[in-house]
Amino acid sequence: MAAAGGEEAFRNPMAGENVNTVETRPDGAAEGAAQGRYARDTPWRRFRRYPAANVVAVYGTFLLILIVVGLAVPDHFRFLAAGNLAVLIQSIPVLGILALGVGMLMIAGEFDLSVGGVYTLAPYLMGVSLNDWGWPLWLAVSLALLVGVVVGFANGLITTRLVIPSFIATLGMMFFLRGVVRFFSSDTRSSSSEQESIFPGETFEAILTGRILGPVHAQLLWFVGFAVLAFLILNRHRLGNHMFAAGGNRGAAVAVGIDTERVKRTAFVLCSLCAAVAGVMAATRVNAVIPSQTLTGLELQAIAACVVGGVFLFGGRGTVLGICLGAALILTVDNLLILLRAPGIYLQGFVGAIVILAVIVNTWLAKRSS
Amino acid sequence: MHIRTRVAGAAGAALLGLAIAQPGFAKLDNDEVDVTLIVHCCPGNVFFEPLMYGAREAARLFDVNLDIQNAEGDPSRQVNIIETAIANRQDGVIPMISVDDALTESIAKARAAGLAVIASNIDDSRGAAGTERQAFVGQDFIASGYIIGSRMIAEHGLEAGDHCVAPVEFPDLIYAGKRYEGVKKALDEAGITSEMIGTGDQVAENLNIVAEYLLANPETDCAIGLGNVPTSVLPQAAEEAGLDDLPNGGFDVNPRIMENINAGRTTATMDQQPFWQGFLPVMFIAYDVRYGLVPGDVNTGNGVVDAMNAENATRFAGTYR
Repeated sequence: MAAAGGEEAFRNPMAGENVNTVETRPDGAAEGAAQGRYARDTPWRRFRRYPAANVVAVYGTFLLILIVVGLAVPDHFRFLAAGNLAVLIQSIPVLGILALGVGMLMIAGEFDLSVGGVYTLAPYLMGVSLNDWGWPLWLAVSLALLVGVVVGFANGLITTRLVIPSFIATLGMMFFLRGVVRFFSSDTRSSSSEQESIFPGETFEAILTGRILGPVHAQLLWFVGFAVLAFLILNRHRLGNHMFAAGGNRGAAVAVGIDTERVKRTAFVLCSLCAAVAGVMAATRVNAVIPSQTLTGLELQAIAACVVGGVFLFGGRGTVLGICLGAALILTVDNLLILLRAPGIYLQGFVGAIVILAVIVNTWLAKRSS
Repeated sequence: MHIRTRVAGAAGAALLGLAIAQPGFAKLDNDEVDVTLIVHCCPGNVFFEPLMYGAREAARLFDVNLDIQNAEGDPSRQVNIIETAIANRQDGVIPMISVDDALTESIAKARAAGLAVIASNIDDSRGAAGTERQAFVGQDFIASGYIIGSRMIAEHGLEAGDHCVAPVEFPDLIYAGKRYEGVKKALDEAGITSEMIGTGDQVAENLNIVAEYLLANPETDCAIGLGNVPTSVLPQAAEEAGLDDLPNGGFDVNPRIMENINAGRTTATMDQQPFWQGFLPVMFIAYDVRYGLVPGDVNTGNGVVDAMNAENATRFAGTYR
């Protein structure tokens, strides 16, 4: 299938197309060929080839059970209580937006372990610039987003230009950012607490985290917006095609003239930018950010959400829907355990089990579809 | 059962009067009360063992259905747990207010929904003015910091011009700032300089960081750990840095700290008695929900544990101590 001379249509996960092939035809022709190839397929077969099939099936079933039980015994199982739905609606978007960035980067064949650092540093500097430097809000928010862009670009440069595995480069960046956060928060000669309060004003809070209707909060709309944007980038834009190409078969991508280094750098920037947005969103909700947030392992949770959602660890395969549902699944399990009043120590075990299971299922699906 | 009988007796007497003023209570005497305790961070940190032990003991004694969650150092997660408890119609929550402002809104929501809220271990730095929590059960950080700082000065003859290091797991959290404020006040009064350093909550990491600090600053004259993890590694870190006789002391009780005190390697530690920080909030909520007894702040300890009174602390470290 590999051919030179074109650069489009490396894959189309929506149609379950092979991820390691290079098509020379534009999208429409490629899809037509794919449809012809699978003309005798049943809807079930097509669904099974869909990279997010497992998480769609698992989360759909899981959610259905929770809803049925919630409706059957609403006084004993309050999953559908407005307050509980509000918790989910406010917590899933933060991990979800973070995971969208991490997922796009993983599709491009790279990892970013520094997103937890960006998630903390961006709102921290926003708070410092608002509270200590007296900056206007728009400038403080711009600084937070700039942190994401700069860190992402640095990660991209180190990984692509110095040819250092992203796992190592971003591991180093993770520790570096912890140090930077400590630097800005360090006031060791005084006795003041080094957290940073975030009070960006009612309008900003309403736009970013305000309640819209019932349990629906603004975070959900932002999450949907980011998901749509990510979908458009990955599935309707040349950049997305190049990301799948760079992650799925880098040699072939280079052969057809794709600048995979630039694509990966762009993916790094998008990833860090998502982390900055998620950090600002979380800090705005709780009106505070603390340096030790860098230690909570959020980066691994985001990677876990992607893997659960069907993103390949080695790149070239993944869907926006899968990433979103992966994040939702992890936090819904978390919510379920708290609702059932199970000891909090179980969550890590459940997440670990889900990740291992997801990798096994994804690997099996990949073998079946190829 | 002894404690329960006494408290129940007192509560019963109070109930007689209160029942007239407040005709309806949410729970009857024998109804189980649902309470969520939220440990703010550090799953596996031995400090929280006696706190959880105390909470479980109170739950058993007072028929409380207790669940213990861990916020893993993330304020957003603690907010999620509190708001899930509200949705789940719990009777009370016990948060640890490790970050100012972060829990203010969710605690207000909990109070508005009728939940009892008792802060444990760490309170908002502004105290009762910071949140709508009904009471705080924990240590007076500043006072206890001042006590251990003064004790170290008196015991080791520290004087103006000397320098002390104060390592702490999370310098950004309220407990660290407040304890350091007390320690620094005592040291400042004696003309002794000091520096707080962050060490994280891993034992090995603490050992490395403190040893490295002492290697780089061999003129250091004393070390005061502001949390249980750095306090527990101080003697070994000093030895590794070649400062075998460095005066050291700190905060909290755990088996390793008691071992050092018994061996004469650590001068003293401030015991905040975390058992009470678990036990009392659960008991307060049970009696508030059943009988409307209003809880109040409790300082769980500015007591000094040293070689003279180490026996009980050593014997019950990890459970009651």
